[in-house]
Amino acid sequence: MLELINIKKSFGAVIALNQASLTLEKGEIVALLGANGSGKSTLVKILGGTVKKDAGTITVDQKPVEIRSSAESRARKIAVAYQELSLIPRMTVYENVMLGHFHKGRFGQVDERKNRSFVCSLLEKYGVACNLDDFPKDLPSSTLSLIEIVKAISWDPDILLLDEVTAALHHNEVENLFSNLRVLSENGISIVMVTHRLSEIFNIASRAVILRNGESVADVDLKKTDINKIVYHMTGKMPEIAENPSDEKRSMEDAVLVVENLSIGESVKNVSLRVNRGEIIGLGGLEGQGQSQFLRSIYGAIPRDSGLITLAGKKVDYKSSANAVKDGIGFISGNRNRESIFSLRTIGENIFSAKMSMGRNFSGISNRMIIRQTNQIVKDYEIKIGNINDPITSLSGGNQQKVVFGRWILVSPEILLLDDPTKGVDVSSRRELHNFLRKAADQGMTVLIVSSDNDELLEIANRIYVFYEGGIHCMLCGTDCTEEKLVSAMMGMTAKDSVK
Amino acid sequence: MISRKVKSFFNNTALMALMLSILLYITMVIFRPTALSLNSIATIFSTASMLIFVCAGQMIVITSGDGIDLSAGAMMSTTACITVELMKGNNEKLIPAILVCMAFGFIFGILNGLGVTYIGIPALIMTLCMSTVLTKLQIVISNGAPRGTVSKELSSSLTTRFFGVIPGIFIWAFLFFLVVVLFLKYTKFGHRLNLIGTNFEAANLSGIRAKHVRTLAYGLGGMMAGIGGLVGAGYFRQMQVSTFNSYTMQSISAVVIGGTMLSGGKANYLGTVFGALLLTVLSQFLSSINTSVAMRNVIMGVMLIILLIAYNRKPAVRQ
Repeated sequence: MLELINIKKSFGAVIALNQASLTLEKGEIVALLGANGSGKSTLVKILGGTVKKDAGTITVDQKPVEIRSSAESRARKIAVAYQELSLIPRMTVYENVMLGHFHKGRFGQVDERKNRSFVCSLLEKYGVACNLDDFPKDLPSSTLSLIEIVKAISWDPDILLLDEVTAALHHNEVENLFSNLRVLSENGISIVMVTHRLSEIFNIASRAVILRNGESVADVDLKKTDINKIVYHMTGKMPEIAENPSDEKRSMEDAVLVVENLSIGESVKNVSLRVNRGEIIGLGGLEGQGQSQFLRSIYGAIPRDSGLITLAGKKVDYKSSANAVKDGIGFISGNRNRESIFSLRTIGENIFSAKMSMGRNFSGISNRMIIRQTNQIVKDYEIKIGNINDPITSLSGGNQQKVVFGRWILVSPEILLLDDPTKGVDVSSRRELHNFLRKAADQGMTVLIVSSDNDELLEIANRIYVFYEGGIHCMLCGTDCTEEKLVSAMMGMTAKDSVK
Repeated sequence: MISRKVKSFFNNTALMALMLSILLYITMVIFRPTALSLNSIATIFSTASMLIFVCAGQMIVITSGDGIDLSAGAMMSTTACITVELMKGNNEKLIPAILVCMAFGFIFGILNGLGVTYIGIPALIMTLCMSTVLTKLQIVISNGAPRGTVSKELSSSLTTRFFGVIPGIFIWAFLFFLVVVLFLKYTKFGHRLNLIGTNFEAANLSGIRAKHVRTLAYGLGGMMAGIGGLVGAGYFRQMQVSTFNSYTMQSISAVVIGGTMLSGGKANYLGTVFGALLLTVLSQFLSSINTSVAMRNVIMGVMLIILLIAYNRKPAVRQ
């Protein structure tokens, strides 16, 4: 019923979509897959009317249509749940869901009772744990994702587009969502799902359309394919199982970072841990269990209420991140646009920014030196860029994150803290980033990584501290590092190996 | 191909401002052939040069991100009063006057910066308040009407015209601006300024003391306005209070017309110079066709709005 043929779109010099095609039958669930920067989100936005295509045709029921605005998209009964949530932080959940299509009562007034009961029933059906009058700014991101979905469904669409909505969801919530989506598809609603979690799609979708570099390269029946083939279509390479580095022979004497009884308000309670030089420590758990705040408080980015931090035998108490950087700590955020990328500056300046923080304001620096040093990083770590003086925005998300990684390699900190660094990064970039981290750890750098992705933690971490409700629930190492154990610890189920 | 070239030309805001200045000047000559004289060119150079000092400061403040200095003009007026009061025609007081003006501008600029970064007052409000304070302060300093003059040596070094067309003030402005540009290009401060202006949070997390840098930007902005006041006093020899208050708006306009992003993070050095030139030519043009002062202000205002709309559009960026 919906067909996109040879869609093209470029942003300045960057071609986001080139010859992208997609078909969708009534009541079908199709997965739209692709590495980061392959154009999935752009395609979704074109259908949602927030981005205009440069060329190509869209047909609905064999009739060509133009979608020039989100209003036109809605008129075609298309609804989108966006990856970067479109909720307004200071309006209530109820208003957010109904915004733009309140049920009208007599004289065109908003019929509050009818609206509220409608939203209430939707929230209940989709298992969203919040009140109608809560504000999005007070809710955890998994709840926000679900509200975003409910908002899209409230439009009663024929075509539902879900752009990475499961990224912040816990697996129980995903199960519940999927069963609801199946009901929708049985009722004749067609669904397009964009996701990075490849294992999910076999559960929910019947077909997968795979984009690579803005082109649709494959349209596969998910019953007749496996994850390896999908990764092959996405990256052009057959996947290899990465070897888990051995973590024996690390002496317990060599503690580089010791944290004792750290607490931050309600979110982190009495957390203690011990990290040795050259270790890669994973901080796992469901989203919003305090692991991110914990990491940031070590860095001095958010203040802590109590607790001792000892760095290489010296007690430290950072009032700002600048002090932490001076002592050899680095930090990479997964929130690239807000917290790591200088969008108006060049790739070189972006790499150099951490080094730029050192020294006095009035000390000299030459562009030639910046270019030489950053080019060296790009060469050593094989980061794929055009020219060092190109704007950072010419790179895709995965490559931007590699640039941010290079930023810290240039100053070679003792400890590198990462807060969900590969969120929204494609499989192959993710693997490269993991290799960077291993290489750095082998050279004596200590790595603490928060991740919402279990596979990532299991693949890269020597030990995993699992956070649950603001505390460390357990520590997994060696043979305990299995998906089953990690998942049960995340849910707070076993009380095993607790750290004192 | 041609359309792309035209496009890139129009995107080069510095060049565009220069071309517009020349075009306006030619139009002015057509309207009034007497405008084609070395004297009128020299006047344009002088007036634009006077604007350069405060523009450089404004450019730094705007580049620091979410920044604007509405006290720049009042600062110029204040240091101009201080200069004449202090010098009273005595050239031996020149060095002390320069130091006092710089220190005065720097200190009040830092106060602006502290208010904006550490207390969290919006820059618009903070600097507007500061502007009022400075305006009143001039009256306190000068008892209502500044009586002194600057030294003959200072004023002649600014007003003497070399080859009949290049005024001394132009050379001072040129050297000053060169120093500012080199300072911004070759110090860590200049680079940090760009980074905090682009993304304050990311700069903080990269270990840059973003609040310090931003405060310092306001300090330097105030200092440059302070120097501008001294130069202005030197050019006019005598002073009244609030002489340069209109330079606040002019400096902001020149900077933005020159292609510096109002949201911060990207400065256009050459553009600022040509922006100042364009504003000067525009005002000369309007006075040459005998418009009333009030009408001239209206036209200037409308032109500025049009120019700001034309220049400050951003290209589509992939999210």
